[in-house]
Amino acid sequence: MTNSDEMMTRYLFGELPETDQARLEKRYFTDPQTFNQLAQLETELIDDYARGRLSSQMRARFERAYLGNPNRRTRLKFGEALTARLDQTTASAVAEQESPRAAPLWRRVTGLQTSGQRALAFSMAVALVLLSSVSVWLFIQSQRLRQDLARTQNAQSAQAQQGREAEQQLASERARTEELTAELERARAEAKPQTAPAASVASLVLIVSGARAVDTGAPPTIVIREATQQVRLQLKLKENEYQSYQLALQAVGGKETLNRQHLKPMATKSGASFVLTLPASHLSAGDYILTLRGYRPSGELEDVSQSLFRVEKK
Amino acid sequence: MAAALTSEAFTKLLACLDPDRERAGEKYEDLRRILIRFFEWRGAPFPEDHTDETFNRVARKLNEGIEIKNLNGYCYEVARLICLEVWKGDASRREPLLEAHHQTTADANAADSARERELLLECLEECLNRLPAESRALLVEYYQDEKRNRIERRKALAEALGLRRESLANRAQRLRDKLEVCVTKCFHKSTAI
Repeated sequence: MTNSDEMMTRYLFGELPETDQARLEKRYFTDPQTFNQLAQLETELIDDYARGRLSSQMRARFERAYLGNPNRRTRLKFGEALTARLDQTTASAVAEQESPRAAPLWRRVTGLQTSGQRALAFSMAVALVLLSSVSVWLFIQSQRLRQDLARTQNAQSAQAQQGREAEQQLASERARTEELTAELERARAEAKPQTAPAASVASLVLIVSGARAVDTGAPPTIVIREATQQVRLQLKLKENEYQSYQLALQAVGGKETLNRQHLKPMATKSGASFVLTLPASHLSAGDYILTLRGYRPSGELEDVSQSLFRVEKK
Repeated sequence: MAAALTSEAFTKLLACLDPDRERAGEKYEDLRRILIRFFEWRGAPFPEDHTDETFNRVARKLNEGIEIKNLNGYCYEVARLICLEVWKGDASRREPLLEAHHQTTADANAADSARERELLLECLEECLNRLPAESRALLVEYYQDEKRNRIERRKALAEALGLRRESLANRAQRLRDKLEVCVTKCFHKSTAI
């Protein structure tokens, strides 16, 4: 569950303080995507509750919010009826697929009049069963072979893609290193005789899980002290699905502090990560949302994640 | 609370939402959907009535010649005020009704919950059958129990339909909301004395 999902869950359960509640409401009244996200999250919570998939703690919170309110109870009843109906459809479809198709044939065989007819029908049925088994076996084998082939092709193209990306990344890292070295040289040359104190950096790591697991902790907090000069935000991704990304940092209910486009993440063992470094003076105390969007091949932007974190100044 | 929205007020609202009447109608439906959910999430007793009241008050302001630049934001402020009024007792005349409604529902649940469930499923079946076949298929595929990973399955469905995942999710949610309105109306009709 992303931080944004977590905040929305608390809103749906009536657990947000009034100011945060109002902030989120203002947002979803003017941003249709936020409203859609909230409505979809509610639907998922209802379906998970109806299917008995909520943890006991979540279940208790859900019941507190939904069972005591007639309108919400109505929505829950609808959700329960719909999931029951859909699960029944799925179960029937599975049962239909698994039922032995020979059964009606046997019934027809036992219904025949003469022993000759029965023997002929029996032989035909056996032949038919054998033929069906062979056909099924052949079908399964060909499917397996197709899947293996597809897997191999996918692996090859993924490997090639990874290679290309690694080369690109290496090239950009080299360029960046050269740039930084030049910058460092310039800084050294311009430096005064007395050495400046080392820049104090406050860091925060945000993880984008990509899955809507249920988790309800407080937002992660970064503490900026008087001596802090820089803030380093690291955003870890488990899946790297886009060629490049946009990162935007915005105070909740406030202005956009930062917007960087066409970023490429650093590949890590567990996925990919972005590192943002910005002057501590750019952040004031309060809640911030770090929004990650991916560029589709068409150039359109698609929301990937929203991470909420809190800044405390001491 | 107010009566239903007057035709004059509705026309003014639409004009404020968009100069194109068809587009304005869509925007009105979207805003109405947001307002109803807002009142539900805030626990207000009559979300649809409160939504009409919000539109009435905003339309009155428009009638007075007040220029509203951000209609959605303005509606939010009005809706919030109505919520406060409801909880502070300005709408106290609705409270006994609300209690009575609770009581009736509770009694009905205790007495005949199996029959209620049966009726609900009948209504669901009826409303599902009223949907076009492709909408029904989309609903079933999108909200079915996850035998495979939910994200992967929905991703594959979006690709098959040539939609972005976000658009597919919005379409499924709208269909579900429409179905819910149909089922709720049908259910109330079946249980009305």
